[in-house]
Amino acid sequence: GFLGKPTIKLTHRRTVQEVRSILRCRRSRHICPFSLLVDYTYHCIFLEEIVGSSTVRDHIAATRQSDCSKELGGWLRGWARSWPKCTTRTPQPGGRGIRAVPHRLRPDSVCKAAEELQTAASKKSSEVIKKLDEVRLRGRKRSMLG
Amino acid sequence: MHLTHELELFPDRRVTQMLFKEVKNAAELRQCAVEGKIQGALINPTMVVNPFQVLVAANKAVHLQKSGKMKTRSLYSEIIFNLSPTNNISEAFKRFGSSDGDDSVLVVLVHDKDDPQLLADIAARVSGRQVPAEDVSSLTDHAKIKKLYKIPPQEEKCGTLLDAVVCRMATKDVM
Repeated sequence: GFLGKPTIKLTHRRTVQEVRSILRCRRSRHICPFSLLVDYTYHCIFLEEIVGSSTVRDHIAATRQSDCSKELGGWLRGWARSWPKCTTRTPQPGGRGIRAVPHRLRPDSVCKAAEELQTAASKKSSEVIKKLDEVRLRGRKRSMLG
Repeated sequence: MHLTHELELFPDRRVTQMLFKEVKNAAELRQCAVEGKIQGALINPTMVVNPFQVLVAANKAVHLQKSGKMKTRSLYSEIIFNLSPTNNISEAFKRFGSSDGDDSVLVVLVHDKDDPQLLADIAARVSGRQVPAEDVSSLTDHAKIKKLYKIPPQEEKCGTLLDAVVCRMATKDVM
């Protein structure tokens, strides 16, 4: 913690990944805060504050509660269309590799719904979805295998 | 005319920006900067979208100076380098630093307290007309900036040009 308060401790690697992800998101037209300063000594990222914003998770929870399923569906469709641009594609034998999408764009609770929409929208996505399921089962790090 | 900001993260430091048009002695000014007679960064204002962009560069330069991690030799060369989206130092100076033939110049100073004499000395050296620093936006070469910072058209839909530029300046060390 920091002065008694709970904090998320970023490693150098995580700091770098977050910062790169932000730029990747912006290039793919996702509105997200821009970086102002990155301190690689203390692993701090100074970000733009977007006043009156909420996280994706909170927005989805609120939308579900008020039963605006059409609005949620529309949002998910748009997001699913741009999802491939946000994932990196590392060549792996047997298909595409999928690296982590920034967490703010992939709340676990709607991942399944987004996948279904993407499957419907894209022709070759079953291969991608299959790989994602496989990664979920075995974990992202191959060293997690027994 | 000039713009001065205190750096919140470094309360003992202030950044002042002075903009001059119709400059006749850009080559001489550059030589003075090289010789250390001008303690400031001479920047090509056509590569600046907004004074905030310069502030971000100066803030990062001060941060790196304090932690002993500057990539260039001086605070002022570091400010110029920080404006660039790449890690090539000589390219940064060529594109963002003042050139001999320029007819406008943005002078950036970092100082610890308000110093009217410092500003007057700079103004005396420049053979040109000082204008409000905010006017730098009227000199911006948008096309050149979009090309140099590699900003795709779709990114303009999620923020301003300034947002895109600042994000790349902050991120370039790991891209």
